[in-house]
Amino acid sequence: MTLVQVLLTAAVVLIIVIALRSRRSYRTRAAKKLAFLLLALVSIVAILFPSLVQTVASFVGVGRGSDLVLYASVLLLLYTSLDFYLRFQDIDAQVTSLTRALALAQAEDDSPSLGPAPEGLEPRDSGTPGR
Amino acid sequence: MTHALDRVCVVIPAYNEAAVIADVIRDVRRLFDHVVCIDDGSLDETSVKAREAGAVVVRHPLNRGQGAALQTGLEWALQQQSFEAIVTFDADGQHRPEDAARMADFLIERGLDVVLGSRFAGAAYDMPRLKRLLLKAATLYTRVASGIPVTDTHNGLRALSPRGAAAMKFNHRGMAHASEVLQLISANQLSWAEYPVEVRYTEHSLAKGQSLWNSVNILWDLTWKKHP
Repeated sequence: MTLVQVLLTAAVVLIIVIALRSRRSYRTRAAKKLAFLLLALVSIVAILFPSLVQTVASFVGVGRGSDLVLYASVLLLLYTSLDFYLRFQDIDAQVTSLTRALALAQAEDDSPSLGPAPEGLEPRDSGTPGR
Repeated sequence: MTHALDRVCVVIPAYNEAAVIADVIRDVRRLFDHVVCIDDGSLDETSVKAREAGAVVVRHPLNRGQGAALQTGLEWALQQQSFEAIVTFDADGQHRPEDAARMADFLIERGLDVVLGSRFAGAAYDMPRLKRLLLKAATLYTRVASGIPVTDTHNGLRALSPRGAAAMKFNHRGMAHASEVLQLISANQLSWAEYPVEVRYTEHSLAKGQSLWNSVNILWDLTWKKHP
């Protein structure tokens, strides 16, 4: 295996581990922001000094600098997809909880027989009649 | 029936079942006083028909899937604090109320937490061969994954004690909850048994039933969605 193969394989595993870890802690959220800033910084450096990218590429055993950039982009895409997928699932579960709470609250409003009937009013049809 | 079925609540999750829901609920109410229909955000008249037929209707403002609707029904029933048993029952008319009554009876009599209806322990009428094969495969998977030796994992007819119902907190809001029921039984060490039931495969229930494609979705959900 060339150096780049080792690095990329390790990166894929790392990305999956990181994405699956707790996503709520302050530390993780802070780390994400710092990583984003670092990425922006590296991008600017790479734009200003393309030869630097080529040097790094040669060092890890990739022919062209643009190939290295492509590999890095794929890794980033993998991470963002996974992160969004998991985040979407969280929101999905929250929507379900909210829907349930709303439905149950509404059902309670609809059936005054479960609570005391309002003064001077005939109780409405509770929806729980006998036979 | 040795036990009074007025202490039993029948939970029927329904999505766009306006065509049959009223008949199904009336059929159930021949034997049971308390029927709650969870309208899972239907786009048709399901709520109205269910209410007319004498069910309490709890309506999801959004469609959230059968697992989610079932759990809402169980929570509603638990909130009433007056039921000895809760029966889950499909809205498409494939189950028989008589089976449901016997299962509730059996649950209370034996002091079990969960009684699962099984098509393969009983008789199923006109089950298409491909469907039978798929169900057998799903059952095998679930048996291996949950360690619970059931004969039929995807049967919507179940009877639950309040303790059993309280344990049914699904991660999967779609159809994967059917397998999840067994994982929850195992994880919460609930006492359970199977009970032979008959399933009527009508044209309607087959049209509404699971497509083969959805088994891919279910398998995906079960292997990937492990987190709450």
